[in-house]
Amino acid sequence: MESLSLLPTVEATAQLAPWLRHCANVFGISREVVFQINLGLEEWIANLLTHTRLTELGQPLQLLLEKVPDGLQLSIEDQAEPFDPMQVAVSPLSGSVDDTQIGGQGLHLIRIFCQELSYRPGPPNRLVLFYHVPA
Amino acid sequence: MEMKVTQLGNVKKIALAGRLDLLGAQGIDAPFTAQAAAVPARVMVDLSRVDFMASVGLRILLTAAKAQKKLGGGFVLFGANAMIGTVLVNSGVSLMVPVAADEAAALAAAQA
Repeated sequence: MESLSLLPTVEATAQLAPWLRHCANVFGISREVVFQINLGLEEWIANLLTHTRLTELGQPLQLLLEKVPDGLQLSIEDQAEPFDPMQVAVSPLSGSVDDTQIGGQGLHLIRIFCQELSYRPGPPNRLVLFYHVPA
Repeated sequence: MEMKVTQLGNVKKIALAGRLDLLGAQGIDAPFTAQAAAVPARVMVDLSRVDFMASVGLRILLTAAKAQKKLGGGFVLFGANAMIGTVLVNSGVSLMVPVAADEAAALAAAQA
């Protein structure tokens, strides 16, 4: 089980890549899975920084990556107001580049690149993402 | 993030390197947009040295592509690694912005 306490700022996200490299060594996971987990983390943190008062509150995020049967489970806990990703309709971009509304892709990418997602409003709020890792 | 701009005839090649994540995007957004979206141009973006891309990066690329479409220019991506290629496909970006197989194909597409 690997954990990281992360301040709710864009600058603090510089810690994500080194932490995930460390986790990759500990769990022996492929670059592809590391990329998928990194994407989930980036997108979720971007959502929290954009749509909640997390930065203003200054409470760190608690990240936890642990091995579970058939894969890895990533938990992200925050102390901001709840933001339930299950309640947001998302879809890939469509149409032409002229009239597409740019944005909203983050949650879509989280859902695409993990195999299970759950959310429990808090405090603390807890997002759990499951990534299948073949044995 | 790093950015290198090269003029290849009438095509502007913009090579990006590093992580196009929250932090990387913060540094590259303004200089990239100034090069890729400020004036009409035929632009090809080399992603071969980009290690990671989140939606914040997609937004920067799409904004520039959209601007060039309005300005009457061109915008092509190439060189994405397999994982970034998956992001481009699953987000729907690859349906809106041409993604070339390699630099030669990108150059041909940008000149077309």
